[in-house]
Amino acid sequence: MNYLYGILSQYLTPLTSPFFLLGLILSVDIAFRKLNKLTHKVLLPLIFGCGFFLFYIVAGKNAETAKWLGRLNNPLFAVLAVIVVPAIFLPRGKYYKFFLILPLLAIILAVADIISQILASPEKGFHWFLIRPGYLIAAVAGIIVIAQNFLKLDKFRNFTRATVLVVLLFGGFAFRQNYTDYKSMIERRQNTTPDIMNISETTPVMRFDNRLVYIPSAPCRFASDGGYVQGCIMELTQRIHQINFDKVFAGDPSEVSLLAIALAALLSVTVLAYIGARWWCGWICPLSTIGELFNFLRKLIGFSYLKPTKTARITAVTSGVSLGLFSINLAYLYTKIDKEGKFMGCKIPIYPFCKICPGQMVCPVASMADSSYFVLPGMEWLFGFFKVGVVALTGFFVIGFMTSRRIFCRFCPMGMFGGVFNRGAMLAIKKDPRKCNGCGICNEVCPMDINSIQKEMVKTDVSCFDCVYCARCIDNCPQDKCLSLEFAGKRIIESDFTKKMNNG
Amino acid sequence: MSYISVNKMAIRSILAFLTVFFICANIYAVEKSVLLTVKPVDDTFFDYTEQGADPSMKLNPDQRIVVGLINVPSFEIKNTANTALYDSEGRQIPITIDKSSFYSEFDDSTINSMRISFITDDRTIKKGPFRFEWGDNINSKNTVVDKIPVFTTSKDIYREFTWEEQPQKSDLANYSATLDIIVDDKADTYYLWYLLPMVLIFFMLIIRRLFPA
Repeated sequence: MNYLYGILSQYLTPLTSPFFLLGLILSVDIAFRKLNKLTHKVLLPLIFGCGFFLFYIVAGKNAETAKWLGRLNNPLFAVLAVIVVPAIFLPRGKYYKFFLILPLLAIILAVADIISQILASPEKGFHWFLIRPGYLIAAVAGIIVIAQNFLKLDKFRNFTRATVLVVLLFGGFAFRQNYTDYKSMIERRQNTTPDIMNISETTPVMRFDNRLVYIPSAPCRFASDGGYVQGCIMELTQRIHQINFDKVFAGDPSEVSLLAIALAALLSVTVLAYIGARWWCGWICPLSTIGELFNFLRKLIGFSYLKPTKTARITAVTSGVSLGLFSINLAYLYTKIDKEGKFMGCKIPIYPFCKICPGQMVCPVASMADSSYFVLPGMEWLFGFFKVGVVALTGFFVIGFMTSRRIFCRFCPMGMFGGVFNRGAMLAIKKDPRKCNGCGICNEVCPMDINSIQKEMVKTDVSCFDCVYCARCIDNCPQDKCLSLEFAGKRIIESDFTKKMNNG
Repeated sequence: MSYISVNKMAIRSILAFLTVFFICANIYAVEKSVLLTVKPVDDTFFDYTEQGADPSMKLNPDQRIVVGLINVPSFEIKNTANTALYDSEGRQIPITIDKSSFYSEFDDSTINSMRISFITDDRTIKKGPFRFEWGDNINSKNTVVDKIPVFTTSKDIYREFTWEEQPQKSDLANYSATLDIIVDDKADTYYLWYLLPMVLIFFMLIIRRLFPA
């Protein structure tokens, strides 16, 4: 398995570049929009693929360019390009089943890697699942792609969320890269001192080779043992604000490399956001998945949800923006603290937004991290700002999801980053106004309480800033072909009430 | 268009692609190198080194100990054996590596910066620059010590090297060798290149918003 992984890592390196994924999707987009012949639609992405490989090889000859490109590499991009994108675009004919061999192979390789690592382990016993990140992500994508053939949209979304939640939340200890990584994680877990204001000694699984791996939405780095990825966009933004730019401009190699790594991570996450926009919130975000459990609890009890008023919605958005900006400024001020750890007499933690974010309260508890059970910060931290902030926002998170579905997601600064890409990027909700009867079901089923889709009777692109692309509106629309979800020029879901009725 | 003809075309394209790919893939495994410039030490040289008593080693009068820091931006090794030093005539010179100087960008097993020393003589220095190579395919028997000691009582036996300065800036009269450096002195600004694709992405976003398909 080591040999195989080595071969794959060497030969498939260009596929792990975000530029390959972005270029592939853009070429598919052009092919679907501009070209009519199916052969041309297939040929264009293939020509791009060959061209990119040659470019990558030539660029790799230059040491600086190779390192520059290397900081962006991430197995997630390769998996999206090789397994997910073909699953979206390949025609569902009788030959589609041949493609399914690929995700099946990914699952088999992942199982083989786990078994080989167990057999090679110097210590007997259960060490959770030791698996290399590339295999795990490919296997998870493979499971989701195969499951998509058997599940209805609603069930498929929940299945995807649950699968990703397991990896992002429990991945920090359940899916370590190898035995050595696992043992060092166990060693770190011996420290059970509750510590709220410092970064715990946790290491995400996907933090290697001078790279940081972020995904849009909120995969909290405070999940047990560092979680699976480095974190969310807010963690990255705070990290960038703490870089000493005086040293960078003076050419300090360690500070320059920190900035380079952070900018590479920002570019990677921007590519992911451009491709998926706020789809990450609706299908991947562990924080909203946990929130949905509270929503489920509400339904179980039998309470009907409260529709947030326009004032409440605006307040949520403005509070999110204000608190996000304030916290980022605090992160910058952290670099100005004196020897006593204070700035103008106030104690400031290293990642201020994380200290008020409900993610840090919810994710560690949900992932059972012994050392991460939260304790409330004292009043000495910026006059109790963090103590009040964390209680208020965690309360807002729980009560918001329990009473008003996704009102919290309107506040969430991580989600707002994705919202910027909701119009003009790869994903779009399309509407045929001629077929709309204005029934308002799209508004009723929307967890974000978006009513603009119902009201829009002229434009065909009804994507908006708040949409999380859960596709409930499309799934429940009673008019055939009225609403649809487009990805890179291809209609991937459309409302088909007749088919739904016929299938019972 | 039937699926069969599409698949034939696709299979041909994939085969062509794989052929190109496998032919080119081994290009990754190239060694990287930098030319080292040897120059007399200045006062700051002794600031960052550990000082000690007179060396017990016997050096010929024309022999020199060259010490310097390898912190080329592209430098990245996993094992100290993956480095080698050659003189201008291509002969390998044994090097000593300072373990305490190891710098890793992420505290992982990768080394991105380290201090090395080697013994050479004035004649070899005059012949031309040294070539320092690193890469996975290199396997040298290098000596790794906790710290390279420097003996201030024998200052004249020391030389240091640099890969930073351009030859035209050097005062050759004070140098014991002709200097020739092939490195990119703008390497530190490469991080800014990450901003370019980001700008392009936002540009695409704006264009597609303004002119939806």
